[in-house]
Parts: sequence; C-alpha cells; structure tokens
Amino acid sequence: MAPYTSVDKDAVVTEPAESWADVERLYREQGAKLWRAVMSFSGDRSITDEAVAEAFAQLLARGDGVRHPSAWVWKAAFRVAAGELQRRRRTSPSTGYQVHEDPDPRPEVLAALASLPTVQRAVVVMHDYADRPVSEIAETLGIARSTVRVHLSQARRKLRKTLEEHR
Amino acid sequence: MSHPLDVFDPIDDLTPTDLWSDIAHRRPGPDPEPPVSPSRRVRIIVVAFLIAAAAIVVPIVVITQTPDPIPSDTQEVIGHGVARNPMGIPITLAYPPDWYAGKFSQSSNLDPTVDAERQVGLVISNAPGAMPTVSDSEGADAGPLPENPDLPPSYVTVTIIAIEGEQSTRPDSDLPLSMDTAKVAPGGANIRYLDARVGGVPLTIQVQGGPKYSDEDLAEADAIVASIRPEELRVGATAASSNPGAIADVLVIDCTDEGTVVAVPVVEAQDDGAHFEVDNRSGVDEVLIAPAGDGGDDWGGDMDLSSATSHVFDFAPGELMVGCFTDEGIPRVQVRDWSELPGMVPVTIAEPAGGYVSADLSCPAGASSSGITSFGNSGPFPTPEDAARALLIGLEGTDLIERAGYPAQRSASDPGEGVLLRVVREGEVVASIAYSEVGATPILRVEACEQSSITGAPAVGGSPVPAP
Repeated sequence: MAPYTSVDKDAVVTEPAESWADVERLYREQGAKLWRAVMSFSGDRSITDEAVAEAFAQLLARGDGVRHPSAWVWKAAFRVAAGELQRRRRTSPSTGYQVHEDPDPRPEVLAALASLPTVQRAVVVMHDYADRPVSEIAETLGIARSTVRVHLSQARRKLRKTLEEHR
Repeated sequence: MSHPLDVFDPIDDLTPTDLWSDIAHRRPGPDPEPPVSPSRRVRIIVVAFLIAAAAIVVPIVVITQTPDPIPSDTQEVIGHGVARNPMGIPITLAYPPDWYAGKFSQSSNLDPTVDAERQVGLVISNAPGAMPTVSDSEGADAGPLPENPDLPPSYVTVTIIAIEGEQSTRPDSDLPLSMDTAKVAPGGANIRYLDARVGGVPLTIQVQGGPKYSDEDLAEADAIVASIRPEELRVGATAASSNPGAIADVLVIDCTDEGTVVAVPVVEAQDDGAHFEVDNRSGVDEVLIAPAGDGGDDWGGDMDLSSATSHVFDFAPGELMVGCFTDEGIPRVQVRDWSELPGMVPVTIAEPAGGYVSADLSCPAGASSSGITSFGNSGPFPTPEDAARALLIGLEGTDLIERAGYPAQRSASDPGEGVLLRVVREGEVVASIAYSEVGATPILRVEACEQSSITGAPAVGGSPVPAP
C-alpha cells in the first residue's frame, strides 16, 4: 500500500449554529455523508439512525454554544454510536447485525469493515470515507494522532487483504 | 491497489434514513459528550508562583467534574511504561502500563502576544483527556497542555515541568524524590507540587487529583515521582559497535541529520509488545516501519512524530526495517518493498520473557485459504475459544484452540478489540483465527491450511461473508 500522508485540515467551520435553519442546512449538506459513515462504522441501521438524530438534536439544543457545528456533530454521532455498540455488547449479547432490515444490498466493503477492530474501523471510515481530519479523529476517539496514523495504515492493509480475497 | 478511498465508493449507494423530522421533534437525551459546551467548559486558572532560583511559572489546571466522555472501548494506551528524555529533559521515569503519557511545550503565559519563556515537560495521567493532542502553533514538536480537558472525577495527573534551556549549578535533589515533602497548593483543589533538580535541570513536579480520585491512583502518582532518575548514558553508535550483543528493552530510533541511527538494533519485546521510542533530532515528520525481506508492500505502520514519539507495537518478533522521513521525503508512488526505501535500517524484535505464541501456519505459503465469517445472533459465547469451537467446521476433537500473540494479548479479557487464536493439530499450527466482535456479533477471520479442512460454519441469523 502506498503511504498516504494526510494533511490535517481545520474542522469544516460553518457559522455558529445560531438558528434552526443553520442546523437544518448542515443536516442537508452533511447528514447523508455522516449517516453513511456511521452506518459503515456501526453496521447497524438502528444505531446509525439513533446516533445521527441524537447528534443533530443535541446540536439544535445547544444553539450558538457550538463553535464548529460540523466537527461537533460528527464527533457526537460517532461517540453515540460507539457507546451504543459497547452497550449492546455488554447488555444484549445475542443481538447482532440486522442486515435483513436494510433496503440496500450490503456493500462488500461493509462486511470487510466488520472484520476490523472497533478503533481501526472508526479511523478508516472517518478518514478515508468521510475525509475528516486526523486531529478531529484523534479527539473523537481519545487517542493520539500518531495512533490514528498507525491504525489507519493497519486498517487499510487488512481491508485491502480482505477485499482482495473475496474477488 | 487503487486509491484508498475508492473502496468506499459503494457506501455512497446506501440510502440514508431521512431523520430531519425526528431531529426537529426530538427531545435530546443526556449529553453524548461535552467537549465544547460552554456550560461545561473546564475553567482554567493559572497560578503563577515564583521559584526562588528557577523562576518557573507553573499553570495549575483546576477541573470541574465531568463524566468520562470517551467510551472505554475506544480508549487506547499511547505510551507505555517508560519515558526517557521527555522534551530533552535528561530524566527517565516509569509509569503504570494502563496510564497515559504525553510531552508538551507551551508558553508560560496564556496570552500568546506576550513574549514568555517556554515550559516543556511530560504529563502522565490515568485519564487520556489530560494528554496534549494539538500541535503547537509556535512550531515546537509537542503541543501545549489541553486548555479544556474533559476528565473524569477520578483523574490523577503527574506533570513534570521545566523551563526550556534552563540549567542549574546547584546540586541535584536526593533520590528518590518524595511527594511527602511537596507543598500543597492553596485552595480546594487536590494539588501538590514539588521543586526538584534532577540531571542538573530544575523541575517543578505537580500531582493533581480530581474530586473523586482513588488512594491507589494517588499512590501510583507518587510512585511515578519516586521513579524519576537522571538519564542514564545512552549507548551510542560507537558503544554499540563495540558491544554488538546489546539488547535494549526499548528500541530507540535516532533521527539525525545524517539519517536514521539505531544504536542498539535489537529490542526485547515486553509483555504488551515492542516498545519504540524516537529521538527526533532532525525534525522529521514520521518513522516508517516495514517488514524486512520479502514483506512486499505489506507495511507495518508508522509513527507520526508531531504528537508522540513513543509507541508499543504488536508486530511479531522478527526483523523489521525502520526509517525517519519527512512528509515530502516519502515516495508517492507504489513501492514494492518498503524495506528497500533508501534510509531504512534493519532492527530485530526479540521475544519477550513471557514468550510470543506465533499463529503462523505450519503449511507452506499457497497451501492455505482464508476468509471472514460473521455470525449474527449466534452468541453469546463465554470466550473467543468457545465461539471458535462452536462456529467453525472441520475441527477435530483433539484440535487445540489457544490464544496467540504477546502475553498481554493472550490474557486480554475484552475480545472486542480483537483476539488472535490458533488451532494446533498434532503439534502443527493448522489455522489462525483473528477474532473480534461488532456489537455482539462474533467475527472470525480464519486462515487455515487447506489440508485441515477448517473453515467457517454457515452463519446463524446473520449475513455472513463465507470463507471461499
């Protein structure tokens, strides 16, 4: 795999979420991408719906207290999803993927992502699919940026191997 | 391989749920995380106090009670066990393996327009939120301490602070240092600070606990302080060449203006893996790590030196190549063998005292097949071994399923982040299984010798990716 040196970008900054219309505009602009990213991370439509809706609802409730609404809502959605995954693992051990409820055929890459450890899956989805900056990913997951890079390289390597094996 | 992002193109075909109506009528639950809410912002109080000879100004961070915002399954230790030469301070110290350590560099004045001396040092904590994570805009190779840390009430932090470039002719403090002689900061916060000189450098050492710290963690903090020693003379290139049998417990990679230097190229792994540390003298951006020999383009990893210069890797014992690179110095083209990049030098990871259990297959390359199998609604299983026993087909009654990897991996109690298993049949490793969980769904990535007939069982109630 070619080394991939990402360039850290400042989180996408829109105007402070001062109004309902601002949040709705952000949802229209980024909601679909965020939903697909969280879906790729969680593998579960119900978790994804809950995480994305909760994140935007929290953003609405916070009004102008959020300086970088885009970065904030991405971080919040992933944290809600991660927390729910953890909760399910601890409290509902028999609950697994609910893939048959999905209206879409499941892309092969989602199955491959499912084979990655949680942190690697989050890192590669947020970075390579959602194009979130390394600094934001590090903050969201509570790990160092160097650790993000290492997880990223390892996740790509595993992902590539898995996908190539199924072609 | 195609561009890394290409593999994600199919995700754009997923149809998102339209959630706006739900959002608009939703009553938000408890805070999912509190990083930027002004009402929960951490208050920063900087208490400047002069130290008679050193004139060190120390920021004391008083933190309001906040819940731990980071789910525990996303936390990760970013540095283990031993810190050497943090920010050039000639000391070593030890800290618990499940604590966090990060170097920092910051102005001693919160007002960036004031030309003030720079504080450098190391912060160690049982809470990851205390770690510096942002690059310093002033160009130092470590960021400042976080201004708005989100810390659990049980946090305990040790901060070792020096003034950049400051030396002292006064004698060093008696060792071991003891926080029993520390001063207690005025006010209600649980802060003690100790003035000391180690290795000729004046230090201020601060131990701080949250409102619900435990006595055990506070004792750990005091033990960290007691472990501080002057830096032992590092084995240099000349010494190493005269002592080729030397084995280090931390692989120290020196990034010099002349290139990558590893004075002691053999490192004995510890229970949790191989400890790497970089002395970035030349200001490079990262260290690349690649398998030696015919590892192809299967590269091992990298270390971004802008925020951390130490890491623990779980690479299997064996030979690797390491090299210091600037971002601009890394080729953007496909490279068949990273170990052949100019500037890479060989290093060897030796097995830890607790042993490394390899999951490499006994059969030759090309005589195995692999695939991943996920199992929805098939659990719960008491252990990953039980899951493998129940869900794989082709296993024989006498097959031994056991943990592999480093001792800490083998004893891991939470399988969520991945467990490595191996199947031993008549003394031969005939299958390796990377076990992980997504939610409660076991995911088994099986690589097995073809003659073993081991493969994934049909999934139960889920959507498997069957082994080919």
